[in-house]
Amino acid sequence: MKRLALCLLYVCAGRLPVAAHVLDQYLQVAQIAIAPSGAHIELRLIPGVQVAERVCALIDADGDGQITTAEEQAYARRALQDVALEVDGRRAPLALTGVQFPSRREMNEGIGAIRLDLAAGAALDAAGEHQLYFRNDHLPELGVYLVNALVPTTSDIKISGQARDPLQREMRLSFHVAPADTRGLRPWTGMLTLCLCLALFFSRWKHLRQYSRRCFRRLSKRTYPVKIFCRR
Amino acid sequence: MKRKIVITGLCLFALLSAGWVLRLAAKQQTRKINTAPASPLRVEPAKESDVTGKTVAAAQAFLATLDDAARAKVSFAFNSDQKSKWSNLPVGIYKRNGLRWGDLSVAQREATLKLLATALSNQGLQKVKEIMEGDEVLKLSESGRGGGTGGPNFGRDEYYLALLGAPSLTEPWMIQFGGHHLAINLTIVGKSNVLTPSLPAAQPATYKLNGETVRPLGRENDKAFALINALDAERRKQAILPYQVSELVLGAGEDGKTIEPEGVKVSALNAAQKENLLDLVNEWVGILNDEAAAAKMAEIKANLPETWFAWSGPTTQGSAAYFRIQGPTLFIEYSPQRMRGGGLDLNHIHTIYRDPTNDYGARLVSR
Repeated sequence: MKRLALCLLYVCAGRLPVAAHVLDQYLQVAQIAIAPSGAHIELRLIPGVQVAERVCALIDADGDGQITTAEEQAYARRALQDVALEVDGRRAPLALTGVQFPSRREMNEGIGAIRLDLAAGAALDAAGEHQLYFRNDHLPELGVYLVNALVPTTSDIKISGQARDPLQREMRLSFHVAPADTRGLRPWTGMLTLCLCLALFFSRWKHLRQYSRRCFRRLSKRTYPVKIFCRR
Repeated sequence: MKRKIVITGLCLFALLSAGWVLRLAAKQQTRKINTAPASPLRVEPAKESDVTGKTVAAAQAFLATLDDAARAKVSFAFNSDQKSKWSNLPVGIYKRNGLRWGDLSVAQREATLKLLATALSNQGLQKVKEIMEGDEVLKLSESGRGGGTGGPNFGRDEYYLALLGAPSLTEPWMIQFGGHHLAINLTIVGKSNVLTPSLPAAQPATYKLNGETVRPLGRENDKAFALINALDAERRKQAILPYQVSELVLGAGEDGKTIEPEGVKVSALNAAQKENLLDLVNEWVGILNDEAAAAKMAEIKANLPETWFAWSGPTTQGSAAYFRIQGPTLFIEYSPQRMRGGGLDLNHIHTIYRDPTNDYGARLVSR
């Protein structure tokens, strides 16, 4: 009956699509987006139905059975402290830019996703090769992890390599940032070069014709008649 | 002499430039995996005689079996947020809209099946039925959350049909059919039929029905293992990811995202291996009616040089392993779920089929 009541509650509540249902672990999904303005990380924490109570107890710091906004923020900050980001070997401090918590009932059912949006302020627009290192140390005794890099939304940044540990708790990304003076010019470069070529080619067309005629004439004398190619 | 050098230099420069431009043009023939908005596709109006025409007729026949209240319940605006309201989760945990299979009359069920049979291929409809029957088996099994007495959240009655937009030969509309472990999202715009994103999954992935063994995703599994084992040692090493994957990366709720590809590039495979891969891809693409599936397969084949195949887990047939196929207009994942206590469950599979450029027919409706 309790289950039926819970189900009815969820049916009544409009919710975002949720896919995961790892049962006895704490699924932690990180998606890393690299942009010239910096790195952005979407971290989704989804406690399985069998560990939800433990996670809820960690969030509900005063143990009164109610999760307040302050407790949610405190938990988000704790998770933030467990996540490390480095760019080119230097620690890149992350800031919380968004926090979304599901209801406690959703978490108890194993379908509630805590979503944390994290951003590293340091710009990633310096041209050349770079390395990004991400590590998630949040509740490793419960965690099962996924970490992925999103394809950059600008063609000025190209990811050239990705490496993870076997549990996907950490990821190393190699990426290349195009020099500022070539950004946005590439599609035009080919056209400009071709136009220049054609202009040079036609400016020298008269000499080219004379030269090719002389060449054919010499060839025809040396081998066999090729007058057909040298008609005036 | 000086003039000769200049002219010869110019000729060489022109030849090299022409070659470079031709190379650039050739590169643009095959799309790369990126997030740049894809160009809109031309929409050809459908005729009554083609698949869209028949699907429109089947949808209208279905609507004719409904009273006003049921028609209102099944109908949504094409651009409503209903489009992205699908999940692999069972009904009761995840709310679905539309008409419930269990609430339909015999005539309405027949009309629904006729609609699905027209829009999908024979093998696609068979897969849908097998996934639904699998959920009935789950409902009655001990491992089902309903337990031995059966629960309200599982079973073949818990699947929903919704229509977004009015069935039309020219205007966009959509058929949405799904429940636990199934999401069919078919967008129809003129002659074009788009099946992405769709989520065929299974639990149990193997069961007995009328004495026959049924494996809704069996061919996907077997063809993938055949492919990974057909690769030579070097290609296999490139394909195998050195980490575990226990869930879909771009499952429900992950619309509009593209991850960096990994694994082995299909351009490195031989002709037979490429054919094997296309045959594997066709297990998802071929859920759709033959006419539209053939067009989609041609597009995937053209993009094969920019397609990637990745694998995580053991390669011995009979094991549970994750794989992913990713190209400019294709994203497929096959993900055995994590069992209690660790390890992947061969009997509980999630899969996803997406087109990062054209989910919900984005390229057809963005004009």
